[in-house]
Amino acid sequence: MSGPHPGAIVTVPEIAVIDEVREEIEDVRTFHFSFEDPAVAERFRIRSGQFVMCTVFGAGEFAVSLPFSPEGDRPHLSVRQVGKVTRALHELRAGDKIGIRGPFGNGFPFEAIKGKNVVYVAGGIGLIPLRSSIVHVLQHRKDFGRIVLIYGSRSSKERDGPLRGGPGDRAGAGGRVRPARVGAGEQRQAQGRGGQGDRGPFRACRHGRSSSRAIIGSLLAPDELPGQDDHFPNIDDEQRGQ
Amino acid sequence: MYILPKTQVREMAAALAAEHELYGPVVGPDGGEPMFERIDDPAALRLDAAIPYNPPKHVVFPQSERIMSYRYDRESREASIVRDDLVKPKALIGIRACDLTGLLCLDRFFLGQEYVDEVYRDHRRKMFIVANTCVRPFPQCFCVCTDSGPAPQEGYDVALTAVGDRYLYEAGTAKGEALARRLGLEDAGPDAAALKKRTVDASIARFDAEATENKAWISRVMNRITMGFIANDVWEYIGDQCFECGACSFVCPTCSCFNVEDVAGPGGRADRLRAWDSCSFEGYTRMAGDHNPRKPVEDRRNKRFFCKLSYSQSKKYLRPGCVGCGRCVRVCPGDIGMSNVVTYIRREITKAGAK
Amino acid sequence: MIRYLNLVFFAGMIVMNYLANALPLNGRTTGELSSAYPNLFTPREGSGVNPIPGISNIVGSTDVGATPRFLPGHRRAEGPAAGRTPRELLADPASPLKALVVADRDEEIVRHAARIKGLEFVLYIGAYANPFTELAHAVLPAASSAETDGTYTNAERRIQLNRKKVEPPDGVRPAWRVYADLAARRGADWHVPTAESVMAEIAAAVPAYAGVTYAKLEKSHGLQWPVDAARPEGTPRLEAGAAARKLRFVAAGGDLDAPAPTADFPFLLMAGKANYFWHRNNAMSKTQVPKREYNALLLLYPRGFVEIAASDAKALGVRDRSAVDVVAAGGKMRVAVRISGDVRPGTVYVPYFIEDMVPGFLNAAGTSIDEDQDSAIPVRIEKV
Repeated sequence: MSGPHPGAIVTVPEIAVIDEVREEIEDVRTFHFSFEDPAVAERFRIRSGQFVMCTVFGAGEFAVSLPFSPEGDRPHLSVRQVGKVTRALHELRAGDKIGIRGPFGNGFPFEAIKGKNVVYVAGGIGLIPLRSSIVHVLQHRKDFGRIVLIYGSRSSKERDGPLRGGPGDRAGAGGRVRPARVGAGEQRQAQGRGGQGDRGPFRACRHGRSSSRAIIGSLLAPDELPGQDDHFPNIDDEQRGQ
Repeated sequence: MYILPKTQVREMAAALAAEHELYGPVVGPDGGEPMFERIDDPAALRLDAAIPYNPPKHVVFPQSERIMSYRYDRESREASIVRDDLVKPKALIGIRACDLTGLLCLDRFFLGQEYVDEVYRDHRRKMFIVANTCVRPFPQCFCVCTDSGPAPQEGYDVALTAVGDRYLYEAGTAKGEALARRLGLEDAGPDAAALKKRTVDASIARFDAEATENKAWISRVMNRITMGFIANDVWEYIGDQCFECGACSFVCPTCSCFNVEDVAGPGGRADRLRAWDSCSFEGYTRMAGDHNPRKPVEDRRNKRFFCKLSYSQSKKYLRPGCVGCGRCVRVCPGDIGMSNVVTYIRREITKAGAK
Repeated sequence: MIRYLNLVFFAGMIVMNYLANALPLNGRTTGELSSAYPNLFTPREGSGVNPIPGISNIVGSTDVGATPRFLPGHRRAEGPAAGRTPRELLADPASPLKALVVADRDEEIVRHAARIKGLEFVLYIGAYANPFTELAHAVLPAASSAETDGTYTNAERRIQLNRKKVEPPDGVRPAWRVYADLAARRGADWHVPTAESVMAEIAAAVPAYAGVTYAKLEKSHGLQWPVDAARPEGTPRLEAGAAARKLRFVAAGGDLDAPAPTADFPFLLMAGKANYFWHRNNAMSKTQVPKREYNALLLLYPRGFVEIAASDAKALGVRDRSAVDVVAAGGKMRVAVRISGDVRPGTVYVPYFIEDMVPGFLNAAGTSIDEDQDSAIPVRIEKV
């Protein structure tokens, strides 16, 4: 295979086994998987922020972000059932097989933001695509400044789901939670505040609706706000697959 | 350069047919539009036919094709995935310069970016390409505006240029040279290059009088589209005329969007089909859960012209995404083929400049 | 666009109804033709009135007499059962109907499901399974249009050749072969070994097709009837000057009996086609991209929708996709609102894209449909 993605499974999926299915919040389940062929597992390398195409046999294929960290994390997908294929996925149990091809997309530019503070802004299930990056940053705590996660959720149960257990668990990472209430009837939570870095210029990674950006303003001091020229990778476009 | 007598074209096609599936322009028995199709009998090849109604895109990227099949038995949890066998190498004979340029755009999309599409690669592998210079333009042509004709510039094994009762045969690769030797072609002599240049220049000179349909003078429009300087009401005007039929995408030599669907059969078997898709359809950008970032038709239309003409997209193809074949103009029931849209936008630029 | 299409269908239905009631075309002179079909005559090339029927080949099937009212060549049928459509026979409890052979289900026939269930024998012949197959005692599969040769005659009288593109599934025969085989079982030898021989039979029976052969059709973009000894290559245009009498334009409308809205039923409802849904949707639902568009429409409006102008929606206090009851004098249905720029205030549009809509509402509400009229139904919209 040529190109800058030598290990990618491009057109024909490889078969993977679902090792464990975990209930998250309503309609969301996490599927831990491993490739049937150990050689494929060996080749399959991801970068935080990439996605795969997941085949549910007999139903079809969908694009899904990778929530696990490239290092020291179990491969898994966290999927809300929203359509035909994701509903079929939710019917699968441990031991069932799926097809995976990818990874696709560019991933987050960690080299470019080394030494900077990192602000994550996400709402609801939009946190899942960022999980990989958050875990990676926590795994390389020394390389980054302050890490702030601004997260909006409908309930505290939803809030705790995606980062529970594993290397991203905020308790394990020594973070603290500062709940905040923003706007009428809406709850937004800021959580996962790690150690203190220097207050350099902020870089922010964005996922979810663009209104999230307005929330940054409401929760950060003016000098913490990302500037216009800061890095906002537009993951949405790449996730459409074409 | 060599000389290929027109009477020897059939022999050339037969020689290629030994190791390739042949594709080329054919004309139906009713004398209707020429089509670029699979040819079983080399005698059916019609190099003198006008630009085919359809581009050769389907040769490498069929309208609908099975890209794999699989079986999953939920009881035993046995899964297997099968790719279809590799196809026989193909030979395209008589491909026009615009369509060859379109094929190279498809190459850059499917092979030349970050990933290599194996299905496309299998269709394209060991392909033999005999291109055909347009020694006169057809009414809908504007390849002179898009730098993609009338003579093929790259990507061919052989380029033919008709001069009287023979073709100048120009080998672009060692494979093309080898075929010339196999056919025992006579050398065209030292004046051949000058003769070809005169022929191509004469063809370009005929555009004014013979390529009479609307031209797409794209350069200034590319700038406006890239910079986002086109007023929304211009897009709305264009969008209002769109019937959302997708015909422009289907006849476009460079449109490469597709949809993938698994068609389930009995016993846990399924075929994965890939079929042409079009950005003109509302469902093209619709996501599960019903969010659609490009729901209004004008948003979908401006996407098409952005894809063809913006600089950022040109980086993908290493050139504009339009090759000047004029087919979208011919098929569009709403009069918003490429050259008409370019004309609308240029008219707006002129109006704005006059203010 | 839907509004525009609706207008065309409407016009098409009027003209087709007119055709159905016009003088029979057993005459062969343009003079007689012009008194029967004045709309076919045009003063110059590129002009004229062509109906756009909703079903392909409706002109061809009328030409060959595949209708109870006419024999081949538009000769009026005579005899006790002549002129009564199957629908009329089904609707009439006193009719002596005992058995029914249905080829390619007519969707409106389903409203007589109760009567059909009581018949002694029902045979269905068609290319696709559909709900009608459940009403039938026997089903004979037939090849689809892509699986057999045949011709279509379009609205400009053009007879066009359709060639087989793929082989039918094992054991499936073209419908013309099925009919001939049925006849053979009853001892009649129709002798139609090929689709082409069916055309030879049509040429012998229908004067306007007398000169049609597959060989001629293959060499052309179709031939426009009359095709006969005098006009072997067909008749691209019926010259207005050759008509027996002076032709003039007349304002349409005299025969049109469109209902008016009332205080109780202030909207006029029109029903018709939807994007990505046609006929029983057999073709669309098997074609990848249109199927996706259709499924997405179903996802948004799983029980169908009624298109309403934005100003009407505002006055009613309903939003896009909110549920409403569409109430007519004869029945009601619950559907979602779809706010649309394609309908005028005071009118609403219901596309057929949900199977249940036809029997569930339109059959009950639309008496005009009984008279083969594509018409408007006065309704009111009730917020749910």
